[in-house]
Amino acid sequence: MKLRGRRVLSSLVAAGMIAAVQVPFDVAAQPVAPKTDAQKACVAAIKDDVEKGRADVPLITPPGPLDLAALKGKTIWFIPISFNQFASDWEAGLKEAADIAGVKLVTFDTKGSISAANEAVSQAVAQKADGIIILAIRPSVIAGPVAEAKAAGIPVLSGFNSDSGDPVPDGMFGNFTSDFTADAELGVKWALLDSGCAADMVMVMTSSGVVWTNMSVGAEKAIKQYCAECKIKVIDIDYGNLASSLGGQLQAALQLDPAINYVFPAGDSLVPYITPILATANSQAKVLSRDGVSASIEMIAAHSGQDMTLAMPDFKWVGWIAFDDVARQILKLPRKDYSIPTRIIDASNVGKGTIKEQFPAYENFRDVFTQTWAGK
Amino acid sequence: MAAVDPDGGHSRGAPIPNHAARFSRRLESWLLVIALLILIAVCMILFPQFRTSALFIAMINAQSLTLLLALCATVVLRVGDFDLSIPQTMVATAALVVLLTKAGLPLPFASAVGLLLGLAVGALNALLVVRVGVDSFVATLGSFTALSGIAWLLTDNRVIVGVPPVLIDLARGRLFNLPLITWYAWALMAALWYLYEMTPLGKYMLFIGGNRNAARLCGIPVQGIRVGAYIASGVLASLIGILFTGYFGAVDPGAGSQFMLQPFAAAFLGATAVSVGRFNSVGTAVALYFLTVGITGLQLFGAQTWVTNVFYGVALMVAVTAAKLAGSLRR
Repeated sequence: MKLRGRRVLSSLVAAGMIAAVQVPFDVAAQPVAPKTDAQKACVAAIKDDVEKGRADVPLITPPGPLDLAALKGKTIWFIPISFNQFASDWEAGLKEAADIAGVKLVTFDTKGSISAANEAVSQAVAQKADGIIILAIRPSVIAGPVAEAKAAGIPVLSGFNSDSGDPVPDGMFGNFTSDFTADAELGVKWALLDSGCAADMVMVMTSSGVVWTNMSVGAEKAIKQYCAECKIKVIDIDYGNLASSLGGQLQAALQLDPAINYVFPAGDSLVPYITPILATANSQAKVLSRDGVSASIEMIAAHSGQDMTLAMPDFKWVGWIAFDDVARQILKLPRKDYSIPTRIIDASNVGKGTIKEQFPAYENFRDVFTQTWAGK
Repeated sequence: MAAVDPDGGHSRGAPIPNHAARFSRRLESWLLVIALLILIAVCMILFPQFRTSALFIAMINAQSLTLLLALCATVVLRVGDFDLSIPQTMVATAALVVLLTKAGLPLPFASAVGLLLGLAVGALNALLVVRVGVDSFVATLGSFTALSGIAWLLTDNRVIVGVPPVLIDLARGRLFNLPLITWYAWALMAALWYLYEMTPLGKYMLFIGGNRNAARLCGIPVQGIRVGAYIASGVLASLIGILFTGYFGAVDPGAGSQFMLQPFAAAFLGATAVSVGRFNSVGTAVALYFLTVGITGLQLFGAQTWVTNVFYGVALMVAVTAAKLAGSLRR
């Protein structure tokens, strides 16, 4: 072939390859207006709830003074299921509060192991802890050591193992959690409002987590209650094989129902595993979730990868309030039943994605707590 | 599978087997491929979705990262050792590269630092396993665990976003409607096929994996090749880590353990196909796709999670047992 012909051919091949290379891009679709009468009635029923869900969250403070001097020298054990961002920030908040009170904080990361969780609680009892906080560890799998703790007079706080208001597990003194069922209902309402009540949703959860199971129940209930024509499919994944399990099941769901327009993983931690699947499927489904981890807020602010989260306030504040809860129990003071609030964070109120913008009432929570404890 | 059979039971100078035996050996080599094709055919009959290219693209893409890791795993497995640190090298590199770019370092330099991490991990593994003589399973499990801690430290226990768009394009960009990461996996498969089947080095690796002492006596530089395998594995894992950032668009420091079992399962199952008794790249890909098609079919059927786990485990046990029995009968 002559040189000129070869150049033309190679240019055509290059152009063809460039044309073949398609880079996926994100398009944030606008909310859809309802069309039918049923959809309009549905939107009317949920609109106010969603607006309330977007509103500022007032600061939840301790109920009254706390004798920090009486706490000096005590030890609190913090035993999380794993040391993810939430646990890490919670621990940081606990430590800040503990340091002010002269309390020693011992953290035992169980790395998802039930035997480690049992060992942790047993160790806490053996080392005469004054209080124990467990995070997302099913009380039933540590029932033995918890009973030992109760017999030893050590208060144990159950963190994020149920909805607020649920019965307190045996051997523990209280539930420290959110209303996950209500959160899931609010998430569904957000999707319904956003879609004009034409939502076709897949929810991703794992039944190994009690709170996530509660969320799936809440989501299904909300769809059924407000939008008979909408659909929801719940995917129960193997959290131990998250990367492979989620991808395969989600892609199967998208294949079975290409009309899916919302994906609702029960926790923000699942979102990074969902975005490549949606990208491959060329799906424009919106992603909503819960917790409010910084990565998710950043994605919402960047309009890329996630569209909404039900965010909890500053995770360090959670640590402070958990400290207050356990401390009052150690000092045998009346207890306040806390329910960790959430707020819808989406494109309308994410701003630059800072905690100060989303939870302005929580900006100076440390000062408020220390003043309240001091009786001021 | 460390003690593999370099010639599949047939050595130079032995009598040429008869046609039935040759046919049996060929069938054994292609059994998993035939099983895969039958499985695809059955799924296409049962599920309309299997008659769409979209499903195949989704399946292939979802396994691209696992395939890359599985292929990487075959490098050290072929010389008779283990490198369990691969998935965590991938995640630690991903975390390092993204954090360095967010700190302002140009991407090429950040990537180079990431590759250096892989080189360092490979060198450390080689030092412990080849030089000191520590069991490879234990040594690399140790480096896996240490790297896990490093990944958590680097990321401050949180998912990191803000991956440079060029990295996302590098992984998710499409060529003929397939994500680029899939092409990279196939390119690696082809490259390793060539290395293993067409080069003396590939044969030496096999001999070392089969009988280290005999290979040494034959004059093969056993230690050097084993060291090289670990270093190559480390650097390759880091390269996969750079693709990892683009594929997910974020770095989850806890992701390493998610990719621990599947790649090795695929590598071991792959040793029952194409080149039976040897860790090979094409067999690894066939094995992974066989498992993927089976699990996708079950999911479309509506099977719950436990069913797919059982399928995965049973398929692995049956295939490896069948290959072992076939090898025993041949002898």
